[in-house]
Amino acid sequence: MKYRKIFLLMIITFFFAGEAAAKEITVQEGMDLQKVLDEAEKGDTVVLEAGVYEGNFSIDKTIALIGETGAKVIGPPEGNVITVNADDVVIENLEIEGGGTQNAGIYIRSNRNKVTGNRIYDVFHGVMVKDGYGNEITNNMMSSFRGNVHKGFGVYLIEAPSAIVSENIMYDTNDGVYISFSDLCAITNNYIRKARYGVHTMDSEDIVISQNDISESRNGLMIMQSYYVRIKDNYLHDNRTVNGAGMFIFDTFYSTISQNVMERNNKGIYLENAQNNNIVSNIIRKNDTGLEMAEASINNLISLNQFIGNNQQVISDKENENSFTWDDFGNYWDNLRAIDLDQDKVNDFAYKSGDVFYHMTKKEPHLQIFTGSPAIQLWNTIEKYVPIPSEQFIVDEHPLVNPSNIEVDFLKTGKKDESAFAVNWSGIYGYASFVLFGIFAMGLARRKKR
Amino acid sequence: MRTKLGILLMIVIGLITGCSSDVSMEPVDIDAGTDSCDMCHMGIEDLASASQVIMEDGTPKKFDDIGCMLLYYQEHKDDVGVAYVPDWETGEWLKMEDAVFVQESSIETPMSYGIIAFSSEEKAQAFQEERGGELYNGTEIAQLDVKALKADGHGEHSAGDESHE
Repeated sequence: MKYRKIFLLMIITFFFAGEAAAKEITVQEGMDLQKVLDEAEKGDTVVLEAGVYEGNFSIDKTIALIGETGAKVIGPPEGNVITVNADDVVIENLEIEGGGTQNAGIYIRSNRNKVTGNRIYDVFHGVMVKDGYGNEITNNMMSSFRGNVHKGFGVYLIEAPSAIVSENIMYDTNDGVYISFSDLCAITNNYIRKARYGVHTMDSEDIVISQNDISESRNGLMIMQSYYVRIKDNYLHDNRTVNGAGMFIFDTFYSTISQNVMERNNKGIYLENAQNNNIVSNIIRKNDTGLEMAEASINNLISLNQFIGNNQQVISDKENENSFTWDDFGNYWDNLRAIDLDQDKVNDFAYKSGDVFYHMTKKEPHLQIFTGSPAIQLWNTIEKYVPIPSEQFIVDEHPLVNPSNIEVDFLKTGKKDESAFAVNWSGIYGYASFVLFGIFAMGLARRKKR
Repeated sequence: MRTKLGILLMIVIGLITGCSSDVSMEPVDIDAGTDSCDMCHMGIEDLASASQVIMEDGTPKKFDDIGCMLLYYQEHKDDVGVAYVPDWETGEWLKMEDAVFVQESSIETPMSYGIIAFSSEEKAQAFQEERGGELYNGTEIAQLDVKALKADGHGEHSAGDESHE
């Protein structure tokens, strides 16, 4: 009996030994932070008090490094500021700056780490993950070096599968998030400004890109050599630096693009060598070109989208064959001349869009000065309304009479599209003032009678 | 006298017209942040990995990665005038046939082809000793199966993969 109790006690101590050892270590300015990090044990929390900590630091044990407000880690002009070698490390609430011109604020080479709530600026890359899976980078603010210098990426994932990059703010970087040779990553709810590309994928599969707001960049999304990418609920707008596109889809296959809003870009969506993708229920509005389908873009399904107020709705390379209708439902085109005699909400005549000139200017670029000239417009109009098959024009056999109902999850809570549901105050004011004026006028007329 | 003047005039005219029909084959400046790759469309940001060819008619084609340039070169071999690659050490433009190349997948270039150029074999060898990789001369690199570099699995890591220390 006695032995049994001792045995039980031994088991208990065995299980709780690890837990009991975990402690919180507070570090003040002036102390040797690297020494503290080296001496900390697995499970410890290292808290940085407000102050500046200079150097290249490395974390080689599973610990949490948490900053109190005002804790700042500054790297010298060489090397990464913080390197993470251990798994399951947490880095939270730090200000990080400095480091070498090819390095990162936080360089992770291990698994399942969490980087959250940090402000990382004046670095080359914000966070770089190489050879590590399941890392979470959330709620950070990132920006590359100031001034007109070669800039790094906000988050750079290379061979870093199953990463989550969520709710970060990034600006003035090369690419906001660059995903290279990394499958199964989720890039969600990020707010990206003034990047080269907001989100850039290369040689990656099964990537989810959703609910990001990207603007003032060259391209909102740059999807290259990728398979099975799911792009949903993104707001890609005002990307106009160097002929920008909302999304640039190149060498991409079997991907789904749905419920996104592409607004005021040079091009809404640009496809090249993009095959077997579904482009469904997107709002493509007020771009110079709505959808441009360059060479080898075939077998894509484009339906239930809204094409509204683009200078040129669609341009396609004449070799391309794509379907603009799915199960008798096409797209909504705001420049369609609607004729719906059988009232099935689907236009009775096919919609055609394109530009006869596109192919000529491709061969002879100097012909571009004639773009939009009356002769070309006439030619385009004839192509559009004459029911003969035309190589240069795409055909939507079943265009929609009314815009399809598209719910963009992310924007429903935001400032966009509220006007459609809001009370029309100007109308009410107008009516009220009209009524008041009427009463006033009647009163005036009565007095005159007397 | 008159015939002499006529001959002189013809020579001069010949020279002038000869000169004007001759297009420049010199490398052009690449504007990082504005120019895009003529192969993969990516915006060129990193001049150390960039590359260019000047076509027979003098048209420059710019690339973000030497691998992209090689793909273009192989497709348009007959129309290419000169191909230029940057010296990894100095950034100066070298003619492709004069340069010596190292290919190693852990060298980070924009399209991950991992090809860089050196002005001499000694310099390329010195780099190769430190970082590993394959050595190619200008003729060999022109025939390289560039797409296979990516297909080969990027997951392999050589001993030299310590660039981010």
